[in-house]
Amino acid sequence: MSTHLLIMKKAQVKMGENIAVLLLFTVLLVLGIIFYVQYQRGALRDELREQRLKDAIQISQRIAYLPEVQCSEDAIQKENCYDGVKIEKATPILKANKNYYYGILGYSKVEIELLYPPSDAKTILFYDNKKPGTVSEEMVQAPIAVYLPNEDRYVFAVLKVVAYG
Amino acid sequence: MAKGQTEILGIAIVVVLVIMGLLFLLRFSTPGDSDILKQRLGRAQIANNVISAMLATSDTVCDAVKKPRLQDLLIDCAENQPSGSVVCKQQSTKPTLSCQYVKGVIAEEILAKTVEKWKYGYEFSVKREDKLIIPELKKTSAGQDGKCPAIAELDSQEYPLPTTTDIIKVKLKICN
Repeated sequence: MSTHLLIMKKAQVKMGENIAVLLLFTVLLVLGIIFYVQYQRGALRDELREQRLKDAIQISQRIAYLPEVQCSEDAIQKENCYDGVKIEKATPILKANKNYYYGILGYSKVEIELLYPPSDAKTILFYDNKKPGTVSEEMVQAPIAVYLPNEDRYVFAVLKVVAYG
Repeated sequence: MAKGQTEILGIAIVVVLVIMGLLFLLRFSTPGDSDILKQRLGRAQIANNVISAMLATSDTVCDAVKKPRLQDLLIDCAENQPSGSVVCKQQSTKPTLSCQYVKGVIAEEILAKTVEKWKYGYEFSVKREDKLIIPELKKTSAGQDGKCPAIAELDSQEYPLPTTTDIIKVKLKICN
């Protein structure tokens, strides 16, 4: 009888051991899955952020070559030159033709902040087309020189592009 | 004995899995080479844009009629050391010569509103060979006066400006 009892106790201990191992394994597995999911979320967020940054950079490069912005002399476009008068005049046109400019500038906001000399300081909201239900946005800022052809001089400015995602 | 060995094997497997997990975490938490390269290219591009836009800027505060560009003021400063010859803000109570004037504009109106505002450190210098034309302007990324830390990655652009006799170099270094 006592041998039988001993065997029973041994079996129970063994079963207890196996259950503990299985529980530990399950806990480790669940922790591993949680860790992996968190990591994937973070990686996805980073990827989205990087994509928004790339979009913002691409848009800022496209703006530099827009005829609505580029300086010109005798109908010849000048590279790396932003015409302040054109920018002011084009702003309402872009607003009225958002659908057309969406094809070039997408869901983004473009501002040109004139900084120096102080008498010229102001911010021009050149284009604004926010994506409905935006979940992320990234901004790129680049110093530029804006040319005022009526005064034949340059103003120090910053081009700010926000890409929506 | 066999039981003991099995248990040790089990523990060993768990330890190996934990080490692999930590290595995996380390691998993806440190920035890769391409990320570092992108950051460096970004800083170099900012330095390039700041210098080119700054040099072209016309200064109507210095002289509303002549509207000298900042590069003209730097050249005047280099050609007429130590103070420059162009008098800026002639009509005001504090007219200033070009060297002091252009240094103030670059520090307070250009770099403070761009590079410093974006939390970068910088070192700005204008030199003829190795001699400074205006005192070097330097700020850390925390906004304090001083050079970029020795361990920081520095990216820079240099612009040559011709004077009547030689060439001066305008250099902007940017660090994180």
